Amino acid sequence: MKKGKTASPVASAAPLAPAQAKLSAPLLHTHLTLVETAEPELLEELLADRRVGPLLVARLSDYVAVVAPGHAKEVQRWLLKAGHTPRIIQT
Amino acid sequence: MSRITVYPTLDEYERRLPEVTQRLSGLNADVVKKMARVWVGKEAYKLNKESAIQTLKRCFRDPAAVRQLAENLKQSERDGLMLMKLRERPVAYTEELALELLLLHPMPHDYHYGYYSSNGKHYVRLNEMLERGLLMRCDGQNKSLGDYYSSYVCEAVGLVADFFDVIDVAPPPALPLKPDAEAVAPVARRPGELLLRLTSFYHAVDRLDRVQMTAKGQYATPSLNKLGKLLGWSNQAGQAGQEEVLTPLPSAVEFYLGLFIAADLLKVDYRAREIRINPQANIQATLELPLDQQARIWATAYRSLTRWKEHSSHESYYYSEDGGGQTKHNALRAALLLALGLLPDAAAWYRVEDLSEALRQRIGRHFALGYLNTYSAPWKATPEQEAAARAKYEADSLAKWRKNEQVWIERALSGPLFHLGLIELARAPQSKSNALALFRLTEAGRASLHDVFRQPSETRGATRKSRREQPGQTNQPGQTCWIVQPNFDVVVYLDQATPRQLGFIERVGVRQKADAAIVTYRLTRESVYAALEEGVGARQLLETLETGSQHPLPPGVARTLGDWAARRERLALRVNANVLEFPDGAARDAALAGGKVKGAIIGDRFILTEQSEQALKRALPLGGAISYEPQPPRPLIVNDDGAALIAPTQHDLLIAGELSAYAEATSLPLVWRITRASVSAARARGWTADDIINRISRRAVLPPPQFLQYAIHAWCGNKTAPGPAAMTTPPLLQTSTAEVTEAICKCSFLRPHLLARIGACAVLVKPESVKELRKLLSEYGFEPGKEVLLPEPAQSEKQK
Repeated sequence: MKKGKTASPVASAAPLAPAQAKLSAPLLHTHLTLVETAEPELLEELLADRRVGPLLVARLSDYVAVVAPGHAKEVQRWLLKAGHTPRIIQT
Repeated sequence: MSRITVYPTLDEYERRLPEVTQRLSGLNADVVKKMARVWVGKEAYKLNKESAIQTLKRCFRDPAAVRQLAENLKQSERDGLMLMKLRERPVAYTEELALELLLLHPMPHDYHYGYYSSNGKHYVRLNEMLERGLLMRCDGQNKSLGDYYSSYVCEAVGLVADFFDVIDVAPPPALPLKPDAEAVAPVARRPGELLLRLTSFYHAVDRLDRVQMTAKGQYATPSLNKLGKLLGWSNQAGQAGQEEVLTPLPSAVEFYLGLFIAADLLKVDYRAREIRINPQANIQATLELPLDQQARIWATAYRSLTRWKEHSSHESYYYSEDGGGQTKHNALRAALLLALGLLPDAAAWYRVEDLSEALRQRIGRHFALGYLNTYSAPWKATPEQEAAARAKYEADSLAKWRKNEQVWIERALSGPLFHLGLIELARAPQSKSNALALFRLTEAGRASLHDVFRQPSETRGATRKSRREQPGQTNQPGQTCWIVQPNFDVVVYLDQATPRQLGFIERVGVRQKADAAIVTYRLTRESVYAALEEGVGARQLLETLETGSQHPLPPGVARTLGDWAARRERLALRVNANVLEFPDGAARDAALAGGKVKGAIIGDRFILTEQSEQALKRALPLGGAISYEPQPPRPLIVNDDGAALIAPTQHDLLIAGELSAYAEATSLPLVWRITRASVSAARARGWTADDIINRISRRAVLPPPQFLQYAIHAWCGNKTAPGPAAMTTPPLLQTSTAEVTEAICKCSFLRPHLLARIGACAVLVKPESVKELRKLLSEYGFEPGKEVLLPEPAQSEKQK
């Protein structure tokens, strides 16, 4: 792990378990901002990042995490600053 | 409240034109009969008003009547209709048409028209056409233009009938100008330079997305600055070359902005007070038109340009200056452009001064940018005195014209008309100064200004359609026009580059330096990323660079560009996504297999879908929908002791993840606890007390308890909040501020240990609770001391 970076609590957390959700029927979540990566290692790296990690608040799989509401622009700015070139997909 | 004035475009005036005929009933009977007389002769005076209106309406629609009328028109009227026909639309801006008509048909020298209205004398020929009923004011009024009592500016006039089929376009008599045989050191704007300017401007506006306007209808300075920065047109003083000094284009960003608006390529949204790209205009197609066709578009746009002026002197006063409407500058531009079309020899050099004098001779007695001096004969003057007064008036008029209008004409020629590639300039042979005193039309200038009177109508009429209806012309074959160097610089040869190639390189590279023939761009990771984000494909990027390159792409450049494009594919930020959550993977798979849901699997229990809530409700027993923007749900209830409860009915996808950043999970699935350890851990990861409190506030039903806020500050090592606290031997709890005392008194689990508040910063404590209260306060970061907190002595006491 790079100097100055510590693991985000979400980084080590497993994907949200059904027990936590206790859903009886499908639930639609709208207006979410997702970070999608091609490799799990890249998502791990982002979750461990001191600036971006705290803004990723849920992990849906090894490749997808959800950005905290209201922080999409901030995440985009940090990703660019960190040297990433994310594809922006407007749904 | 916005003071912005809405100015309709000519398209909008044209759409409203049919209403003009309905306004006939608003005119008085004498006016209507006078108009009818033009069509049906003296019989008109025998008609009543209603019959005259019906006659007029019938005549407007009757081709035979229109043809018959056209045969009997005066030459000035025929020319007026011809000028309308050249515009290819039945409406025209009043200022432009009025001065064009006056230029073609100047009034006699001793004509005393509108003595009291020196501001509107140039409307004289246009008013004749209005009175005869050939044209109508688009504002629905029927007064003469330039009326003394009317300060209202009529923006546009329109034709009452379709005269275009019966009016021929013929070149008017040339101006009496003498060509200059020789020109020294001519300068001209190269086509490539012009294309680069226009293309880079288009892409800069596209990137900026919108240009803001002020409440007065002017361009907002921050937007102009941003646009200028994107364009790299800083025009810093002292850095301009000699050519820029001789051919300046001040406020170039405003100029091109106005030009694109006037060309209908940008649209002003008055309600939103912003300017955006006109969605109906195909700007790229316009920029790829042959240069002579483009020149017509830009010349016409320049004529109608607003919010920009070539020159203004202190003597001048203007009307309609602030809001973006038509002004006298538009009138003079129209006259100047028409005069350039009336040069005796389109390929010859002429003196700017001679052109100015020719214009003065024709329009100078009826038009001035500022106040127009009129001649009035002295009272009871002898013929000698009258001659002297007249000579003085002539001399004054000439001096005033040279000081104002001639300077304006010089600036127009060396500024916009030069930069739009319509004219070239040169020094006079014997001149010792560097001043560019000679001009001639360029090839594009000849095509757009001179040849329009001489072309067959089918070739002339391509311009209005060309902006919207010629997408086929955009597929120009790429040609080699640049060299891509191993250091990622791209050297572009302007004379070989097509507009499409210029547009492409503007998108993918960062312009480093430019001169008349060569522009250097640099391909950077950021610029390539921005181009990819704007829709340039990775393959298209490499192919277009290769096609335009005079040599094969350096292998390192090709490989790096490929890497940059591939790197972008590794990470995506999907905004405004809809995610469907299922109880388990089996339910998810069943929904997908049954075709009830369309989307992509993005987790064990999740599907990314583009289906709407309504569509999903029809397909599934949907448990509900939770929206996270602009405000996420507020499922949290936070207690004084740090317990955070998630309301089971509002349990959302993100709350657990958010809480895990600064709170500890408990054995109960919906209960979390904010503790010293959890806050310390968050702090170690870079969180501040304010971050945590803001995050809780955003998601909690009520603001977090004040006591807990102090505790979070304390756990984060904040020494100023809650500040020092003290526990005295008599059970007295003291704090440093009244707010902290307030927080403690309100805290639900501390209150049982307190007896009473005895001051702003002191509370009596139950004797049996001292130990317990000290423990609790310590736990929550207050660290109570054992010394009494005495008030600070006053300054005078200290001195004693």
